[in-house]
Amino acid sequence: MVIKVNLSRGDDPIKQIEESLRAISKIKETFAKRKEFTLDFSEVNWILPCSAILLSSKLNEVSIQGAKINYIESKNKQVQEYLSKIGFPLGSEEEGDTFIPISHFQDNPSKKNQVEEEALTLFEKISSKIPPIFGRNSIPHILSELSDNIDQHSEFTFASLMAQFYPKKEYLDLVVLDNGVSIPFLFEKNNIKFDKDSGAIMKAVSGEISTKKEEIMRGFGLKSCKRLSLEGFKGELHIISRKGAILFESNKTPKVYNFDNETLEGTLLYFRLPVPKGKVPFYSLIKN
Amino acid sequence: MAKIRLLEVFGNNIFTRRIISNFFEELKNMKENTIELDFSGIDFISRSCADEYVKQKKGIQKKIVEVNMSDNICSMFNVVKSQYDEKGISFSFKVCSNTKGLIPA
Repeated sequence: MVIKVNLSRGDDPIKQIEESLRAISKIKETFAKRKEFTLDFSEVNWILPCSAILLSSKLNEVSIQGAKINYIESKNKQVQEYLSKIGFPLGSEEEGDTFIPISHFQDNPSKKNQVEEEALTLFEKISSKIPPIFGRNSIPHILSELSDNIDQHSEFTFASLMAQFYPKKEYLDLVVLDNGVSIPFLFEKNNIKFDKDSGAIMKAVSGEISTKKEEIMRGFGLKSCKRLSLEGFKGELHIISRKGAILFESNKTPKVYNFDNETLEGTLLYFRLPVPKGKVPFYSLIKN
Repeated sequence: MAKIRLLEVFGNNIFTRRIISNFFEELKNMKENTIELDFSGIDFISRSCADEYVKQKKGIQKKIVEVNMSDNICSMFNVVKSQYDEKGISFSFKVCSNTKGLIPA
């Protein structure tokens, strides 16, 4: 059984993310019928970090569940090289000078502070690869808030982390993905109303809502991460959860999508943080 | 009085609420009623952790004394305080000895 992956090349990341989700559905359906299958990447000429981690995460999950995956590499040398560096398809422990490969972990109730340890490990690896101008607070803040969300809200079974610094292009990509309950589902569970799944995401980043009703001091995490990435770093933040997707870009109107047929089980956050020109006003950005 | 070096417990960075709440559970089980927490070497505490710390400290029936908080750590507690002020919630805060930042009383 062969699953041929087709990913569009172009400026609109949403199309490729949708295609990735479609491929994930095929992987899931195929694995339900047979343990062995082939993943054909031969015609993939362009792949975004989000797509790579989405696909890798599902492949890792089914692999742990007993799948035997035959992988046909892309014919495109650049894609081949990039995917090899990030440890595609199943993730890797090997690091490079500027990249940290995709790292997957499974929820382990016997490990008391598992999410903290994974986030700290990623931070320790990244901090040696990025220039000091990134400051000592912004990256740990983003990682800590996201890992706290995974730990406190998501009820995940699998999560994935990836980071890559591009010294020539001068930006850092950070991606965090979990397969737990999505933002829209969490809001539904807590009777928080929203219009379409993208509406739930928008409310989550507004900082006005927390699902922990007894804790009115919560709900700041995503908002502060958004402010840091867009206002502090003049970068981008993409959030995908269930059927909703919002692409935030500094000084631009957010692009809002709701998938018709595809669904992400869980939440993905992708940050593109350009190397800042000066000191990022960290405390003023996370305060309110 | 018990003295705990947080660097030995957490390493340089403190990231998630759970790690703070787990830590305070251990403090509750200690026999000492006064516990000194030495923040030497702690480079970063997340906003969520600082918030959790403030809540846990309020709820524990022991005296907790913080020492050697860096400017960076004090600043994060200052952020938490400003957010409490905005919500109209009062917590008692003391001034950090080395900066104008605040630490919980």
